[in-house]
Amino acid sequence: MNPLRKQRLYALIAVLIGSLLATWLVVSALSENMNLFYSPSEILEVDIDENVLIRAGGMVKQGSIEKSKDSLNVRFTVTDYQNELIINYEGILPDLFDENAGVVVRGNLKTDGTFKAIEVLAKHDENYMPPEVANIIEANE
Amino acid sequence: MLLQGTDLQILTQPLLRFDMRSSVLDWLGIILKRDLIIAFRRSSTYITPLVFFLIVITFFPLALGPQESLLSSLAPGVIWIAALLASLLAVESIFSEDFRDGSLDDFFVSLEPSFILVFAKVMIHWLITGLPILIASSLAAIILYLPLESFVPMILSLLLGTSFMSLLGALGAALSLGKSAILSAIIVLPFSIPTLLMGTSVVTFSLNNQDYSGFLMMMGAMLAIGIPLLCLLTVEALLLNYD
Amino acid sequence: MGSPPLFYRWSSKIIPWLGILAIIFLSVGLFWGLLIAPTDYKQGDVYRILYVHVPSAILGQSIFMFMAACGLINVVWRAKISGMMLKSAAPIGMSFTLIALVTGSVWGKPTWGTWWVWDARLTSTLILLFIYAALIGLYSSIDDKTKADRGVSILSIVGLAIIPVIKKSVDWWQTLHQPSTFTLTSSPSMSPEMYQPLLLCVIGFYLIFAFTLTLNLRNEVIDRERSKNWVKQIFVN
Repeated sequence: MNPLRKQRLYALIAVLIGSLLATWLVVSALSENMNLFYSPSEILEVDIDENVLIRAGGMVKQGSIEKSKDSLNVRFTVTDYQNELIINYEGILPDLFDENAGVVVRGNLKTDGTFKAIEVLAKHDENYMPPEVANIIEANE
Repeated sequence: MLLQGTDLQILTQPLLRFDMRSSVLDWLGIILKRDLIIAFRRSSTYITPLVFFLIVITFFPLALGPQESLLSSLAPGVIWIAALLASLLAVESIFSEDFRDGSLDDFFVSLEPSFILVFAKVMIHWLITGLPILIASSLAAIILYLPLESFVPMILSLLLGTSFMSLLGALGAALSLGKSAILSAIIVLPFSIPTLLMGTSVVTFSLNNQDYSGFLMMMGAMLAIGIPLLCLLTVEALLLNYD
Repeated sequence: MGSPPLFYRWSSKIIPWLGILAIIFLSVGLFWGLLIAPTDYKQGDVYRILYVHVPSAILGQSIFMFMAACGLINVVWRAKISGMMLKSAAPIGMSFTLIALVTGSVWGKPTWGTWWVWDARLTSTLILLFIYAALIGLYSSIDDKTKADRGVSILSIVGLAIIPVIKKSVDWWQTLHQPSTFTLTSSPSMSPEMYQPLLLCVIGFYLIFAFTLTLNLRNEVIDRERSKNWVKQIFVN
């Protein structure tokens, strides 16, 4: 075989093996938990130090928001429909923060199992519709 | 140069002795041997990244204060940033010497797989920067109060990450051959961000007692596709200088 | 694409048309989207920024894919014109990526409650911006234009790896950024009176890209052929 062709053949084989191996690794990596983000269920399983900053999130449970009358303190429960996590926060909440809406919080997990948030962010979903349509959908449910 | 006698023979050997019967591995061995001798004759090649890495690490406790909990939570990021910067330090020298004295020209006319040459150069670069950093990282982990349980994930992630950085560095060096040394670093930096993210995640996850194998597999995947592809692209980039 | 003089004549004809079409699509799309389309049941009027944010984010990524394709063609077949295309597209793609990041930030403040968050979608888009910058930086550092083209081509192929990461980041990781509204497999989760203007905006943005790309490319061709006779003839008359 002429050297140039041999060289191309080697290169092709190397790229092929490399991409096969890489695909296999990526597929198996994606089945692992790679979130720097914890749901209320995941937070029960891990053992995280009190002063490590983490992110957690889920849906705000209906009727769980307790706002303090004389300060910016707020306490609410986040749920993933299996487990729940109580969150304490002091500060201004984003406009879209509401019951049954997604939130992402950043803060520390206390030893008593509650979460002290230093930041609350509202997550909105990928659905967009006019208010009339939303009302109809709600009425049908 | 300091080379003489038998050393000189090794340096000229590839071109004198090499013929079609030799396998690719012989070729790899010859280049590795030659370059290692050159590297070890000049101790600055492997000392500089090492010293740079340790000095950058030392900056953090001095600048942020010696508070143990703070340092240990910052340790994954600090060690990784220092390792990335240190591995970029000697990038420019991967091909420049051979380009200047003309031995690169000889490799290209020899008709042997040129990606083997690039692969050997990447290995050499890793051996003189990645490996010393890997060894020094344990020391860095101690002075930054990283818990002992996180040592293994740190070493594993650095092993995969610095290898990938050497590959990227070779491409950057080939593209900026004959230009300022800082250019290759600027080219490579944006591409190194995924490595930094995954590497720090491995160590951070181990700090939180969580399974970090997903990130290691991702880094392995980058390496698996990076070795053949980046070596081939580096060959292309080197050929730019021989049009 | 044929010879440079042919391209020059052809592009001179097509550029005004591309410009007019882009203006029509954009003005209709933006007018419809920003003023006529209904308000969102949850976000109110704030959501309207997506008529700029979504198209520019789409363009930022598709221009990079276009550039990597040009790069591959340039590396494999040494086609000069593909190198010039790559060079001409880079600043446009970088601008769109920057617009996507800025408008996203403006959108994030009232809805999420923050200008910036280090989640996977945002971070990977930021990396894309840096990669654009690296490509442009590399190009400007090599004097020989043909060599600069090839160097940037090689680097753009490596950069292509970031595109699937941006695309899938919202599915692979728990991001604050919402998942895609438009997917190939299911109908969009957006009411028709909202996505029709969006569609017009996306087409309009693509037309802007085609318009500016052809303009840039024409300048590039003239610049590189400036010592040739046909260029002299154009400018002498």
